[in-house]
Amino acid sequence: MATAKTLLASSDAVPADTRRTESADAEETRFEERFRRHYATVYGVLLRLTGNPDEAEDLAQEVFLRLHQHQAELDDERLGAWLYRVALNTGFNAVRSRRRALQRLLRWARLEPAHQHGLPGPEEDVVARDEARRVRQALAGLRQRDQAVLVLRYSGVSYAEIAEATGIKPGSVGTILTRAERALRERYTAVTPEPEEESAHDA
Amino acid sequence: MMPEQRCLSDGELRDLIERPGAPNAHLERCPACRARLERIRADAGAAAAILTQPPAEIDVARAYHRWRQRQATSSRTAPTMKGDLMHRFSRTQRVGLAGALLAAIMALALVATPVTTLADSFLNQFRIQHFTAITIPMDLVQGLGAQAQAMTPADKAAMAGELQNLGSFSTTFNMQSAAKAGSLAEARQQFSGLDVPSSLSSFQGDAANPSAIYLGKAGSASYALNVAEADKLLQSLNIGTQGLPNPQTNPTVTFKLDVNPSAVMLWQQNGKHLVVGQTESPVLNVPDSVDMDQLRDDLMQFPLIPADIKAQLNGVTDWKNTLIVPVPQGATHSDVTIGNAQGLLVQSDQLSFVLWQDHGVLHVVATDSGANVVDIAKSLKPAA
Repeated sequence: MATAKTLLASSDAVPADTRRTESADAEETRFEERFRRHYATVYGVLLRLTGNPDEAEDLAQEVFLRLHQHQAELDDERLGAWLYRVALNTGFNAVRSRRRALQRLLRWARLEPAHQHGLPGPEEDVVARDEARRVRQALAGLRQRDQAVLVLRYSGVSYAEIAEATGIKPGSVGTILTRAERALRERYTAVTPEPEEESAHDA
Repeated sequence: MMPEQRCLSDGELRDLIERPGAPNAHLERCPACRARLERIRADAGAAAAILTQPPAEIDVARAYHRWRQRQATSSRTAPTMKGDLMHRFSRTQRVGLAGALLAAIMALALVATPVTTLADSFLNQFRIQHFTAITIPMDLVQGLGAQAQAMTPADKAAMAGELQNLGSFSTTFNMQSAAKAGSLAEARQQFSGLDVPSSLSSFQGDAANPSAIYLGKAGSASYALNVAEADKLLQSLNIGTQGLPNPQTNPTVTFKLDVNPSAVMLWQQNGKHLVVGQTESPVLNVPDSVDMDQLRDDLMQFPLIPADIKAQLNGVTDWKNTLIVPVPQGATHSDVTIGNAQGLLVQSDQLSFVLWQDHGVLHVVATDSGANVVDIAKSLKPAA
């Protein structure tokens, strides 16, 4: 009893403002710890979806902004799946709105499909951009759920978290992943020039 | 059959790649599974190579510092939507016009390719683009009818209850969804693009004066499927359920059919009928959580589907955009050309009809009179 009274007294002795500050500090520490633990995976998912490091970074910031708003409701056990789900939604929305905007622009400007063999810039940049385009093109041709499973898996997310983030059954992740990998390989092959062309280019 | 005697599924083989060295007695004995494993391993290796971006330095400390700066800035500014939007893209804006233009040109190259556009447009939205006839054996139809008649009232009530638990149906259609038009002129005002026949072949009637014209309004019909109940039902029929999502995270999935305005003209003479109808293709929207390919594969395993029907269904290549037309045994069907469009002609003693799709518009001409529906179809012209 004496101990309780002592505790109560010591608690009362701390000003309310100080207690609030301590609580806020604890929340910020918790948030920072979560940020540091999950940032790389969230960024990886968004980079694979958008293909653009700057955009992926902006979107990752948005994802953590949402975490900051909701972090009190989220326990550590489900945090990963929640973050990856938000990252997927944010990434897909960004890609969709970008496509819509560009399609409008395409119609407005009456541009022909731009299959340029090269864009201004150093040769290695052109090669890298072509490669990035092929990856985006192959990935974008897949079903959204297959894209989600692929980018999550290759960002290091576990089967259980993939299932929770995407809403599919844990037992189906392997099957869907297998099919998605095959489809990605086929689509990528379809948009990749024959090796002869590349070797000629190298020569 | 013991578990180690059955061949491994693709998912199980993929799991083995995740856990190298995990022993599997069946795999050691089965060359077919080993070959499939190698193919899956090759696909996974290729996917890994494709999805491994050029190694980017991820500076988490810098990202966190930036986040704190943004957080501090946003807490000092009023939280307006515009402000939030500007704030969100603050860094992107700094990329600069040249960079943005370059990115736009590259992205244009991406979106302008047919494969991307096509996939984007049709992902989980199914429109009717083709027709195919499936011959249904009469003994199957009669058998189903006999089974339905043999059901006891208690069985019927139980079945009704199960169907009710399985999902709920809703629609925007009601008695006002279709209205009669007084004349072709009136119909044309309400339904632009109305095509009317200039010839009725041997049908006795005046092409310019249908007996009745019905105009249907646009609307939709939805079916909200209870995933857990559907799981139970499919499992009880020994059918796979991998095409459906996890019922814990997606307890309900809703399939929605969007129906466009339609026009139907009817000619009636001496107890015989001629119907000419048209509508833009309805669109079936399926939630992304449903794997339609997998669901179809699973449903095709249903043991009660006769082998010949299964073979016919398996023969449909673009099944997502193909309307399956069940044709009773005894009726004939053939492909026909109406204008530049491919159509399906079905003929029996009682009825003949032709279906075709032209520039996204579905047409049907049907009659019980024996008149040549293909000739009538070919005579369709925009209403003057």
